[in-house]
Amino acid sequence: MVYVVDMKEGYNIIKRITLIKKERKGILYIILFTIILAIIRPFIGPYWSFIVAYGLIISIVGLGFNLLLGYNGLLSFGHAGMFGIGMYTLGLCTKYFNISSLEILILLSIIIGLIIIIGLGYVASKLIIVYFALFMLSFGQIIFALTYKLYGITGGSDGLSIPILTILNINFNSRIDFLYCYYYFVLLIFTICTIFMWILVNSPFGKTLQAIKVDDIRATYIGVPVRKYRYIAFIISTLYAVISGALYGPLNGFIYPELISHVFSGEIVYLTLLGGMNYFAGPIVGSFIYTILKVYIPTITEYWQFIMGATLIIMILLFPGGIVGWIYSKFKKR
Amino acid sequence: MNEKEKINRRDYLKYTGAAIGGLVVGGALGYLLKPAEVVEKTATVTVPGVEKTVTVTAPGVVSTVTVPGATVTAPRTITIEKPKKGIPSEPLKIGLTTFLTGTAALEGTHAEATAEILVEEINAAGGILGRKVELLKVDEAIGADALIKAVRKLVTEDKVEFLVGLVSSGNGTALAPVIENELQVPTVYGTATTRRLFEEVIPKPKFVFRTSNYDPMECIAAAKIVLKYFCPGVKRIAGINPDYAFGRDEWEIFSKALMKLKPDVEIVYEGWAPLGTTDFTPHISAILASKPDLVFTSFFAGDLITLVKQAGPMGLFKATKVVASVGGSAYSDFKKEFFPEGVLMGTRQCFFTYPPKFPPMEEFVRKYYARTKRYPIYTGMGTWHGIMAFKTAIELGYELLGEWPDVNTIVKLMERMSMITPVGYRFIRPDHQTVGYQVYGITKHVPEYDFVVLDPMYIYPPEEIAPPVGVKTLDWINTW
Amino acid sequence: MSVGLLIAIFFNTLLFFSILISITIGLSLIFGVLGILNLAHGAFYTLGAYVAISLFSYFTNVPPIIYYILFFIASVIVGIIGMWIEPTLLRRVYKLPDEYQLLLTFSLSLIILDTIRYFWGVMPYYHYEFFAMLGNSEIAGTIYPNYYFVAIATVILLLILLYLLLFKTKIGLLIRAASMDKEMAISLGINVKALYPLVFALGIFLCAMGGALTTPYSAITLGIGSEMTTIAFAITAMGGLGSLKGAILGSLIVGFVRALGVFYFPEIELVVVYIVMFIILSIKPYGLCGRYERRV
Repeated sequence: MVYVVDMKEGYNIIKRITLIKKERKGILYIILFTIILAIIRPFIGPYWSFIVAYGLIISIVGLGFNLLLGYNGLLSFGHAGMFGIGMYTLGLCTKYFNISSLEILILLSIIIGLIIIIGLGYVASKLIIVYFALFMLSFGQIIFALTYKLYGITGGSDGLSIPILTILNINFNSRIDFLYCYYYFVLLIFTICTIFMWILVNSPFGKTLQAIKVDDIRATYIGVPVRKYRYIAFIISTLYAVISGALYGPLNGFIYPELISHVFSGEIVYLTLLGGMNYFAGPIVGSFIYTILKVYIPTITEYWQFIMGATLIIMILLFPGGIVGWIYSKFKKR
Repeated sequence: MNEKEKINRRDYLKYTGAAIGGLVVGGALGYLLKPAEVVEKTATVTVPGVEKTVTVTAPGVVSTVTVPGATVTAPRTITIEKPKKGIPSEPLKIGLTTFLTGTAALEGTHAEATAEILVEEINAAGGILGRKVELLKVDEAIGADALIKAVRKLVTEDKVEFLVGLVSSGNGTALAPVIENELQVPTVYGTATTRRLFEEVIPKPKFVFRTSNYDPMECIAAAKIVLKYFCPGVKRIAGINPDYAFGRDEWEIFSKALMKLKPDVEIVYEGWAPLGTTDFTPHISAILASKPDLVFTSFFAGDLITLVKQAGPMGLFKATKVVASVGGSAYSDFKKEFFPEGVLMGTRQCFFTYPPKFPPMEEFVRKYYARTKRYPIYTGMGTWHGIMAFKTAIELGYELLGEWPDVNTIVKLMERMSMITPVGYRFIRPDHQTVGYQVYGITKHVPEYDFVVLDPMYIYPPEEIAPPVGVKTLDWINTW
Repeated sequence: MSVGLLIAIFFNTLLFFSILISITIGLSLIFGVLGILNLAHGAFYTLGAYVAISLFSYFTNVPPIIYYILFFIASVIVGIIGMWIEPTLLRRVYKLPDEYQLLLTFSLSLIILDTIRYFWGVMPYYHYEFFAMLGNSEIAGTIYPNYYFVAIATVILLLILLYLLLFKTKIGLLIRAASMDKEMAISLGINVKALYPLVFALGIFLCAMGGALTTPYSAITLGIGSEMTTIAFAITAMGGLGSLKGAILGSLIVGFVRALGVFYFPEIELVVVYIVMFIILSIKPYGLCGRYERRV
C-alpha cells in the first residue's frame, strides 16, 4: 500500500497547534521552574551544577519519549539510539571538522538527526506495540554496533572526548567556567523544549494523539489520519532525543557507545514510569530522581539493581501513576 | 471546600511560613555569629628517624619547632587547621578503581587485595607522615561513563587526593582527559596498558602515571620470543582478541612487529569478540578451518578460561601453537585439568616466582597467599607500585621543602623515580610510563601446584621491547 | 570451502538454534497464552544456568547420565519458581496496560539477577568435567566436541515432546485454544486461569533448560542473560509474536546467519541479529508469521 504524504493535510495538522486559555497557565509554571533553577546556580557549587544539568538534559529525552508513550501508547526501546546520533554527530564534528561553536554543533546535530528521522519514521509509523518497541530496539542496537565497530572513526568503546566548546564565541579557560555558562545554555534549551512540548500536547493535535492511543481503529473511523499523526509525533519525539544527546557531550566531556545500548533505553523507560507516564511533568521528575539515584545508590549498596526492580514493582502495583501521579492524588484528596 | 476548612488551611500556611522563616533567620544568625573554633590539637610529625610532638592551642597560630636528626637543624613551621602548609590532620583518602565484579574480577580483585594489604601496612607504621590512609573503592565494571562520575565525586566531594588502579584500558583512556584537565590529582594507572594513553589521548601527561608494562612491551616481546624460541617457522597467524581498545592494540602491535621481523608471515584469520563472550565456538571453528601455525589471543581472566575450556576439546592446542599475551591474569584459576602445556603465556612484569629468590617478592607472596589464598598478579603489583611511589614522593617532598608537598611537587617527584618493588627494579620514565622486565613463559604442569606454571621463562629488558621516550610504537617498529 | 568447514557451520547453526529456541519458544508460548511479554526470560535463563552449576558441584566423578538428569532437575526447579511467581505477581498486572506488564517483568528480572548475585556472588563459575567426559569426535577432518551433539539432541527431543503435548493431548488443545482466542475459550468453559501457571512454568522450564545446557562449556556469569533476552525478543518479533512456527524459523535464521557471519565477517557478530530484525520488521510489520493481535 503506497502512502502519499498530503501536504495540505500536513499543513492543517500544524495549524491546529493552539492552546486554550486555561492551559496557558502551564507555561507559567514552566517558566517559574526555570527561574528557580537559574537563581540557585551560584549557590550549589560545581558538583551539583553538573547534576542539575544532567537532570535537565535527561528530562528532554524523557519528555520526547513520553510523547510517544504517555500520549501515544507506543513504547520505544530505542531512544538511546537517537540520543547516540545526537551525541556522536556533535562529537565527530568537533573532532574532524574542528568546529567548536556550540550553537553550530547543536544545529548540525539537529539537521543530520532529522535526515535520519524522516526516513526512519516513515517505516516506524507503520508499527504498533511490541513491533514498534523492537524495531526501535534493533535500530538503537545497530547504531550502537556502528559506533562500537567503526572504532577508527568513532573511537569505538574508548569513546571520544569532547573539548571545551565556545558559547556565543566566548572562550572558556577552564572546564568549571564552561560548566557555569553551559548550565544556563542547557536551561534555556530545556525551557524552550518543555514549553513547546506543553503547547503540543495540550493542543488539538495532542488530544488527537491521545485519542489514537486509546483506540486507533476508532480514530481512523472518525477520519483521523492516524499514520500521519504518528509520523509527526515520532519525528518530534526522536528529535528531542537527538537534541538531548547533543547536549550531553559537552557536559560530560566524554561520549562513548554504551550510552546508546538497550540498557540506557531501558533506563529511559524506567525513569519515565517512575515519574509517571500519564503526566506531563512525569519524565522531568523521573529524570531528576534517576540522575540522583544513579550517583548515590551505587555507593550505598551493590544491589542497586534489586532496589531499582523492587521500587518499580511497588510503583506499578501501588502507584501506577508514578511519583507525579501520587502527588496529584494527594492534592486531590484534601 | 467550606469556610471552616479554608480558614484552617490559611492558618496552617501562616504558621508553617512563620516557622520556616524563623528557622531561616535563626540559622543565618547562628552561622554568622558562630565563634571561631578553638581547638587544642596535637600534631605528630614523623621525619625519618625522629618523632616529635607539638601542641597547638589556637587556629592560625604558627608554632616553630626545631626537629633534630636531620643533617642540618632546620626550623620547620607547622600550622594546623589550614591545610596549605604543614601536614593536614585529616586522614589521607586514596581512591581505588578496579574490577570488583564480572569476568574481569578474577584479575581486578588482586588490585583490591594488594591495596588493602599495603594500606594496612602503611597505617600500622603510622601512615604517610602521620596521616592515616583511607581507601575508597569504585567498581570499574559500572562502565566508563559512570566511572567518570564516580571519580569526579571522589575528588570533588570526598576530597580524595590520589587515585590508583584503573584496570581497563577503555576506562583509562576515558578518564585520562578528565583527570588532566579537570580533576588534577596524581593518578596511577596500575594496568590500563593501551599505548594510546600516552601516545594519543594525553601526550603530555602531568598527573597521570602508569606503573605497568604496556602493550608494546608485551606484544613485541611475544613477537621476538615466537621467532626465536616458540615457533620460528611461523608463516600463518590467526588472532582472537577482545573487541575494544586493548584487544585491538595488542593484535595490531603483535602482528605488525612479527611481520616486520619476518616479512613472509600472513594473517589468515582475525577474530573479534566482546569482553564477556561466553561462546567462542564459532571463532574456534573458524580458526581451525583457516589452519594457522600460531594463534595469538589477548583475552584475559575469565574470558581466557572460557576460551581455553572451549578450545581444548575442539583440538585447538593440538592443531596449532597458542600465545596468550595476558595469560598472567589469573594463575590459581588456570587449573591443570583444562589448561594445556605448551602455551606461551605473558604475565607482564609479575609471576609469583619471578624474580626468583628475591626477598621482597617472596615476602609479599607469603603475605598475600596467607590472606587471599591466591597468588598476586600484575594488577596488584601496579597498584602496589603506584601507592608506594606516591608515598615516597610525599615523604621526599616533605624532606626537601619542610611541608606537605603540593600536587605539582608530588607529580614532579614521581617522574624519574626508581624503586625496588616485589617484582624487581622499576623505573618511572619522564613520560610517565614505567618500565621494567617483561616476563613470558611456556606453561607446564608440575605436581606441586594444581594450576599451570611457567617453565622455561623468557625475560626481556625494556631496551629491547619498549619504544624510547617520545617515539610512537608503530613508528618505532617501522625503523627496525 | 572444505567439507569440514561446512560441517562445522552446520553444527554450529544447530547449536545456536538449540539455545535460542529453548528461550524463544518459551517466550512465544507465554505471550500467546498469557499475553505477557516476559522481559525476565533472560533472568530465568541465567537462574537455570546457576542452579545447574550448583547441582553439578555436588556431584563429582559420576557417570554422565547423572549429569544429564541434573539438567532436567535444575530446569524443573526453576520452572516451579516460575509457577509460583505467576499467580503472585503477574496476575496483578493483567488489567493494566501493556507497558506496565513489560515493566513488571523488567523489574522482576532485576530482582532475580541481584538475588542470584547475592547467593552466588560475582565471580564466574565453571564446570568442566561433563564436557571433558564426553570427549570429541572427528568428522571429515574437523574435531567437534560430543557434548554439542548431546545438547542439540536434547533440545530437538524437547521440541518433539512439546509438539506432542500441544497437538496430541487434551491439555495441549486447551492451551492452543486459549492462545488463539482467550475470550472464546473462557466462554466455552475452559478454565483459562488455571492454565496460566502451567504454561508459564512450561515456558520457564524450557528457557532454564537453555541456560543449563550452556553450563558445561561456557563461563557462567551474571551477564549471560541480558543479551539473550534482547535476542530472544528480536527473534520472537521477527517470527511473529505468539507464533511457535515463527520462533523456530526465526531461531534457525539467526543461528545460521551468526554461524556463517562469524566465518566470513567476524566483525559483524554483534549486529547481525538486529540488522535482520530491522529488515524483516520494515517489510513485514507483524513479523514473518505473526497475526494481527487485537487487544480488547
